[in-house]
Amino acid sequence: MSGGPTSGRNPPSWDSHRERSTPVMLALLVRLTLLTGRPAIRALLWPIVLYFWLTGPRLRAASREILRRARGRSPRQRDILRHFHTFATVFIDRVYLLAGRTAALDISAQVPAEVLEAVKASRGCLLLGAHFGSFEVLRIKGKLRDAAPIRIVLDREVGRMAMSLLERLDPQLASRTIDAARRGPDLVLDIKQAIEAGDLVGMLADRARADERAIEVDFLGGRVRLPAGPWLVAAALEVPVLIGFGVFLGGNRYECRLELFEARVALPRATRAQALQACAQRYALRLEEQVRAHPDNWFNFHEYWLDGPVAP
Amino acid sequence: MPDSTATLAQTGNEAALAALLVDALNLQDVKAADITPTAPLFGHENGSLGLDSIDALEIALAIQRKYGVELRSAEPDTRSAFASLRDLAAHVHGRLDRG
Repeated sequence: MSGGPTSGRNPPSWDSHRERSTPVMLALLVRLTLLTGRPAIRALLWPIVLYFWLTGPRLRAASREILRRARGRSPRQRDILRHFHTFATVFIDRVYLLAGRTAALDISAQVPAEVLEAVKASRGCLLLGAHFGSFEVLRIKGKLRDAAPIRIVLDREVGRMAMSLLERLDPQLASRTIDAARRGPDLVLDIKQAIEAGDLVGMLADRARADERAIEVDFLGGRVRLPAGPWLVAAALEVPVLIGFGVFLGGNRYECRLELFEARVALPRATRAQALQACAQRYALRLEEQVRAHPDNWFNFHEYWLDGPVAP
Repeated sequence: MPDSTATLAQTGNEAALAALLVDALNLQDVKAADITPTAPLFGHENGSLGLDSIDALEIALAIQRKYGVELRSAEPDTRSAFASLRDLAAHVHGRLDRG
């Protein structure tokens, strides 16, 4: 899956990077996580984190750039290690959350009444997440489950790890995922059918594939490409758009933040391009606020900005 | 050459559907009458209309509104229906005829 042609300016598409862990490692990690208590596992994560830190110069560079852009100063090596450790923690917490072991975690929720009202009032709804914090926290603590059944859009090829984790721990949710790896009409028709059935469709809105419609926006002092799909789909299907941030706050604390981003995405014909641009830019700004407040939670460990790294 | 004219000319159903596509997708530089019925709708090959999956959604919604025919992803003939204007028209009218 190397995607379509890329122009000279674009960084290598994220889908060209292979996930590094193997299925055996994954199975081992899941078993170990569920057998061992969370504090012990978090301590055990340090050697793993150190391994990735030592052997992953591109991961280190990506982390450095994120932290530098979010904080406005150069990170120290220990900041990068902590960033990796946050990623690893959120990953193992995903195992606990999918396995239904939520007792180890302290999850608070900020879910305004208008969010649940919008979900209940509408037939179907989009929930946009990002590679930021924990999507699982949104799903589990957002009280959305009572309002509407959820279906996750996930690229089963690129996200093989995420998919096998789901299949292992929550087969029902896994069987209801919508596979984004398919090209052509099938994917969007699946989303349409889920929406028409009254489901809440969750998707990540912070990475555009090389071959999909994208919008260039300002983000943390640079330019990035965000997918246009979520906004176009929401407008075409006339559904509300929720955005969510499952923020890891350190220790065992998470906060589930859900917002009603747009009750209806209006893309009038005459001003379609501008309306789309404004929508994506407004989303990028909300994302930027969250990333500035919690840079450790940003998990796009690849070249993300079109204009390359900022000067040290 | 009567054969190639027959291939390239739009039938009444195809012309109506072509007009629906051009309107639904707001195609500024394509005239409905100029769409070759057998040309691919999607993809980047020569002669293709170059539509993408979002366009497929808009087309499916427009067809649903106008003809009451729903294109479903699970059905095997949906993918082939999207191959060309001719295939799409045949699919929609096939479904209408079957009731």
